[in-house]
Amino acid sequence: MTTTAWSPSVGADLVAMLDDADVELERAHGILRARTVPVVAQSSPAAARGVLHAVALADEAEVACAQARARLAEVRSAVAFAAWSYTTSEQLASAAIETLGGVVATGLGTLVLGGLLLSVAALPANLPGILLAAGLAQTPVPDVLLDAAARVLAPLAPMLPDLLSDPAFVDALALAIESADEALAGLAGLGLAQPLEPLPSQRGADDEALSTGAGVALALALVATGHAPRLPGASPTRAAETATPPAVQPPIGSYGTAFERLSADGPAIEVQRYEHPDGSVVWQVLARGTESFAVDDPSTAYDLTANVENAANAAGRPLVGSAAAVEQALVAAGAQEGDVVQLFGYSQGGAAVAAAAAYGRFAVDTVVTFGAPIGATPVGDATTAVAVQHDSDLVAALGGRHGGDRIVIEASPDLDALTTTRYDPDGQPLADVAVGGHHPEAYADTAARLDVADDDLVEVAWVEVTAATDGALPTTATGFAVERPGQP
Amino acid sequence: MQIAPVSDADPAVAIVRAAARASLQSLHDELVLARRAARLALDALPTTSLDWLGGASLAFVERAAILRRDLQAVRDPLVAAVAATAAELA
Repeated sequence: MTTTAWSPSVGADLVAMLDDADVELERAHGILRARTVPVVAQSSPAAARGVLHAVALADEAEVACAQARARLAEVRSAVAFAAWSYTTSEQLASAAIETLGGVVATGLGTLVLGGLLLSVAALPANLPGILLAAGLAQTPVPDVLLDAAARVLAPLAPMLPDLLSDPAFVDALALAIESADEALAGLAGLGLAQPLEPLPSQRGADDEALSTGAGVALALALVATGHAPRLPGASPTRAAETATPPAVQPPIGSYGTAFERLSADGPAIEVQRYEHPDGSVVWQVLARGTESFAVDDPSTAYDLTANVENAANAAGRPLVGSAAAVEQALVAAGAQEGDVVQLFGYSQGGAAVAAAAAYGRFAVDTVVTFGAPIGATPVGDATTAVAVQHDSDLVAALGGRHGGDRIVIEASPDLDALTTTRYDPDGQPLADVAVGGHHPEAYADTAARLDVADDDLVEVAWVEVTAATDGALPTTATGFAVERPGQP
Repeated sequence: MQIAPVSDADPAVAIVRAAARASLQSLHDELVLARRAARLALDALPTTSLDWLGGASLAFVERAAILRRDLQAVRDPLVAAVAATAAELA
């Protein structure tokens, strides 16, 4: 497995560590240069030899110190330059990709529109208008339209299993998501008439574009499954405390432990409270993966609808989807302003905690996510955010490419070497089934590898997490289901 | 240690020996501080195994390893020097 990583502050972090090393080395050098010259007069020959041996060793250390300081200065300069080059080239590449992505996405949207129009030539030309009208009228999508879409997608079907785990496809999907506004413009038949976005890129508007896209996707998903369309959040979610609380657990302090807990059976949202002897409180919230992939599942609101609603969260708006439930769970458990809040999430749970941290009322200290669609979700200035994802994870790519102050660790697991030990609904083991890039088995493997990676930058989040929880004792654990009370 | 911690019968010799012992004690204390600083420098040195800097990552990992050896080359003689001075003071 190969692992690449990105942090907007990687250069500064490395230089700071080298500077810390240099401060200590300078101290050692200063002490050695000004060291006492021992007196050996009136000493026995053996004692004099012993002292002179120590002096020779000190001389050796002093020379080595000077050499090490010179080498450290070279490495420091090289790191600063490499980080600057990498950041600059990455920014230039991103800007180029976004511009190109805009063209491609616009073309893709236009192509899809064209293909659909050709397939349903009998329909009026304005396809989005039809969709909108269908939604507003609360009527099902015309069958001829679904047939047309099926014909367009049919040739892809045999390739889908491999395609969906292909890193190139996943990367392209993330790019397309990031360029959702251009794709929608193309789909609306407007793209070719619109000028390209100028450099620098418009990353700041990505969450807004994704939010709008999520609103459209939710309406389409509702209509396509026979539900009345509505806006995200129109049927709010609610965190409902479970009758049986989860077990009180020691604080999470590593990737492996975090993912082990996230992938274990338990309520959708779990809130653990820790208290220091001085009364200060630390909260750890775990938001697990999607419970149902149905739209508006009557048994749980931790469903596909909440997934789409999470993507609709944006600055200045009330939280919707399971992100709203995460915040409600914290409030219900008793979290107060000023408490330390640490959030962990997998898949939908990752999207929920990232949105709650970015747009919610609590000042969140740390967010660690696995396989979460959060690329377009910003990171607050006071938050340390780490996203662990796979280059073959379609779900993570649905959040678009990362652009904020988030440490992104992207691994390339060998999917063929991983098998699932889970069971199908009939209780039969799913033996020897190759797992996709999003599956828990793959993330459990990656998390375990990260814990032994011996990489200070990978450990940044845990240094903060454990510093906040060291000495704190677990007090209570509360579980929450996600409900949608107003659901028809 | 062969440098007597108590005064000799000859006051002049005793003074010189006391000065020698004091100077060796000072050197020992300074070497202890330098050894501690060298260890802290080693601890502060970043360790990384992931590709954080694109094409420059491997070069950084290699140079960091050399730097670690350089710092070890500072610390090792200091550890030995502290031990040598401690032995003479014992």
